Amino acid sequence: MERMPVFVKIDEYNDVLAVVRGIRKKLDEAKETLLKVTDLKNEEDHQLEMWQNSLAELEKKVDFIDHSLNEPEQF
Amino acid sequence: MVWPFTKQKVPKVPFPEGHSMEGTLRFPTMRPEERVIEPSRVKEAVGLEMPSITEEAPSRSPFEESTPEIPPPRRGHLAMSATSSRTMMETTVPSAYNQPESEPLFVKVDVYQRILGEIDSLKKDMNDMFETTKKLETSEYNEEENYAKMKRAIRIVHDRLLQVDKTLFKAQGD
Repeated sequence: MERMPVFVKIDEYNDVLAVVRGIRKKLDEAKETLLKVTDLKNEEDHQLEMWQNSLAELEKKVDFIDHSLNEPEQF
Repeated sequence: MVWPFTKQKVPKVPFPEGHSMEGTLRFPTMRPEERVIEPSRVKEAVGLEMPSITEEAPSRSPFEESTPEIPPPRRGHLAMSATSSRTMMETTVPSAYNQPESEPLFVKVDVYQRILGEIDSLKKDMNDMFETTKKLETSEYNEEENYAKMKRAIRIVHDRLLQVDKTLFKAQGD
């Protein structure tokens, strides 16, 4: 005998649809926020890289001064 | 006598033409209302996907004439702000499954079970995301702390360089 399909009655179907629409809207908002955060993070990474370069430059100059003061005959 | 391999001539008889009479049974011209949502169309039914244009659409929606308004969600049902729910109500997503209030809607058991499974998986994903948020907050706090330390170190370096500069120029001046 062929199996008969069984169905489940869904009450308040429109409410469920409304909730799902609301969730989708919130998901879109979350996606936009995440994009903004990603942009900020990229900017932060860029600034950190610049900071690192400046720090390396600073270190080089301090080394030069240090050597100049400690071993002046070499310069 | 008729030769056995010769084609016999069959007299052409016209097909009978039907006469439409009142009270006679007819095949329906419209497709029956689709109440059973197949697994492939659940997403479309709940508004996650718009029906594709290429898909063979019915010439007329069974509920075109009467477009029921979506009732506002009952208190305690939805944890959403009033403004968001209001804007949500204003947006109308075309759905072929907008059933009138009076007609019940049924979903196949396997579809229903799949939906339940998806909801469980969603809950799990949400918990994972909460955990990730917590970790991010901790990481952000640590990052802030390290930035403050780095700032202090740079300030100290700056002060000492100024001190060295002053000392050297003082010595040169003397």
